Amino acid sequence: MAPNNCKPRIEHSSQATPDEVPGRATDRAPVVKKKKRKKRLRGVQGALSILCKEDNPVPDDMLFEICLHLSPIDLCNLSLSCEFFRDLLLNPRRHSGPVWCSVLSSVEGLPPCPEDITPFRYALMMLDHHCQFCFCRNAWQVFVIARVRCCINCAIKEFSRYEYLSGLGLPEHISLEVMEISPYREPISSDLGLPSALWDDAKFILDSHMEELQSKYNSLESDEERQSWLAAKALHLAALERNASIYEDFLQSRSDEREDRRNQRRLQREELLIQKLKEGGFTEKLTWLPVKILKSYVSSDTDPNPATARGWQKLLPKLTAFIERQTHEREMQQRRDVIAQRCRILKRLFLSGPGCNFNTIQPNVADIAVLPEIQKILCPFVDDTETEEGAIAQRLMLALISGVGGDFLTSWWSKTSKNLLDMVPLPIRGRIPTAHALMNATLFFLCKDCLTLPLAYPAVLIHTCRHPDYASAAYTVQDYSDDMKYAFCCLEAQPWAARCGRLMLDPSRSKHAAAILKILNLDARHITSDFLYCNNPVLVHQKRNGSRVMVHWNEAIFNCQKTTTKKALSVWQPATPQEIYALYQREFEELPVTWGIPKNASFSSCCQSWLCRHCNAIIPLQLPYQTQSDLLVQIRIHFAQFHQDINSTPILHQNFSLHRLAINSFTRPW
Amino acid sequence: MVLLVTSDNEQFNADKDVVERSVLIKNMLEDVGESDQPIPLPNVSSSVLKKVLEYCEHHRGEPLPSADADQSQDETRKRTTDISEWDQKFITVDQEMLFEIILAANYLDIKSLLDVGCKTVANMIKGKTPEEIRKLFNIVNDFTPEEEAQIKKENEWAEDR
Repeated sequence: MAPNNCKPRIEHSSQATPDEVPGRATDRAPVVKKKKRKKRLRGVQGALSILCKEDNPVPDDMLFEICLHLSPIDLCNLSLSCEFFRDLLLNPRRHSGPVWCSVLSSVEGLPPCPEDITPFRYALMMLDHHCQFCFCRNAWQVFVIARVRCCINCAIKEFSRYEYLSGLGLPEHISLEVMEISPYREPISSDLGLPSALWDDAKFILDSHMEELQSKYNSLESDEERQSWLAAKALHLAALERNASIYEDFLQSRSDEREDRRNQRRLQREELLIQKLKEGGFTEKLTWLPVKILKSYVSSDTDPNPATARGWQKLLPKLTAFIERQTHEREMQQRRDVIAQRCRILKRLFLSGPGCNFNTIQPNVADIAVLPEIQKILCPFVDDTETEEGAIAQRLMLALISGVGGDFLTSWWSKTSKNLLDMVPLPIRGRIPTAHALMNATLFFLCKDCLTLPLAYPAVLIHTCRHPDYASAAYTVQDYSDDMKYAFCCLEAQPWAARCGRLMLDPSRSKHAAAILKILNLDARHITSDFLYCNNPVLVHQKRNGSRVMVHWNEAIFNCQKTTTKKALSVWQPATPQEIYALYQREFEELPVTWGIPKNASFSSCCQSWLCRHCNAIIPLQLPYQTQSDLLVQIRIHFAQFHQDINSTPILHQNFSLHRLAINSFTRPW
Repeated sequence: MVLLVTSDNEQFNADKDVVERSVLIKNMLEDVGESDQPIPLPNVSSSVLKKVLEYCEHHRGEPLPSADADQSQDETRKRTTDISEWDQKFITVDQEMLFEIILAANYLDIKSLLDVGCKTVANMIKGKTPEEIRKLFNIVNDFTPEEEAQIKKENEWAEDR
């Protein structure tokens, strides 16, 4: 078909050459010699193009009949397809008004087209989502009073703030009266997540509206005409403001419907995704995979659609990678759970089983769990997923009885400072010291080396000494593997980390402690608690009836609240060495036989002296004690002088425990 | 039986109750009375008339839409583009034939057939952009982009109203 059937283009743009058309010039090859080109026509005329002929046999009524079955937006698009349909549908002389009315009324809930706007523009404003300025597809904002649908960029660019215009910003050729009657746009909705500067309640006026109205105003000849025109426009603006809510309600309902549809599409995509994964052999994994995260891969309309082969092809690698990551994470989690569960079982075994003979001290499973031997028992191989508690308990018990447990107990015992537990008076402590009691006891002490407070938690006191001398020897939590850390976390415990912690009394933390120190005429540094030596002086409480009650220094702190007054202080005295010895002698004799302490070598240290169990000699110590070795030197000298026949390891009083290194150093031939 | 003569001088014999679905032929028969004279249909070719008769044959005996009923049902009829299965198959023809059928239905005044034809064309247009409409029907785009933009912006008609 020849293109000469088409109507000439409209007047205002017919003179523009293609090179002048923005966005087109760059698409063309450079032209050496400019020729007067014929209008370039796109497409080839075909079947429906018969309608575009001047002498087309189809009457307008029949075309309107077709149009009646279209939606308003379809009708707009048809109007924009060619000059013929534009003329048919937008030229009032062709009487297409009833078609537009009918088509617009077919949209449920759409208010009737107002008279100040064409049905074509009304349809675009209410139903389309293209910006009327830049034609982008994201124009969700409709300003009903200004009759504008535009994108946010154009909403900012094309409008001027009313306050600005009413100040100095009004162009010279625009009169103030015209500005006042110009339709304005409402504030941009705050729901769009835009900068708060755009939410203000200010009015914004469309610049082109003002220009248009001003030219109309200028075309009026007399003042009377102008005044009546201004009055009519003011009334019109008031009507626009009054009726705006009708249109806004419709737009809101459309927006809600759109949101519903979007949700529906999302649900469909999600269902399809799950179905395809099931078909792809992921059924079992879907029982534990985070389905919500999986669904997020198709949550948006812009995400690949699993319904299409192309979309699925894009999705599959992402999904597979995610599932692999999740599977690995799950395996790690399972292993951590296994270890944590077994730690709990181990703890129960030690609390209730024959392995626990420490009376007042609970084993700290966090400490023991870090031991390689125990880890071997806890989780002997990687894919060990046994979860039945009875079976695990049996296995652990067998392993402990068979020898590994012995090592474990030794290791654990060597790391436990029983001395510190003894700082807590028995009435408070009971069989198992509470966290609160331990905290009370330890709050009086600072680490001798790093001057920080030790941490306490149920069962075992922990101190992580930061002193550089101990840095290499001390364990730190960070040294443990992730799964062990997780196990500690499950147990609400921390591993032992103070192999060499030495605690020193901080008298400022207890006025009672300070008072008692004053009675004893001791310095704070004389009161120590460490693995080698615990100086726990004994006081005598002189009662009214004349009896003397001997109380350990630490218990005096908790029990004798009257020590702060002068009167109270008078009833407290330091115990004599003989009294102290008598006290320990009694305690020693009262010890149950099952403790099995041999009598061959024994000594006891308390307050400012130590007691040899063989010759009952009380040897006063030189104060202050500078190092652990001071005590060891004295002990060695005494044993060398009087007890050379004793070759076995010396046994300490039950109130004390020795550091393994100290024992080793002591037992070396002198 | 009624004898119909097409624009290409082909003759078709059809039952009276079949051809009377066309208001045009029905009125002619009423005006002429009982006669063996053939009815000329100068605006309808033989191929198109064959299709039209096929349609009328299939819908033989169905009640013709009355003028009053048409008015009342007009709105709902126009707003739906649903076409029955047989009609859909019937109207699945090339675009040229489709427009010939529409023109013939309009000429012969067969409301239901015109309706089917219009709905079919409307269905083709629905949901398409101007460019897609042009491609579908091979319409020449005689707008420049500036003109398109201008059309969207212009509000002249409103001023004329």
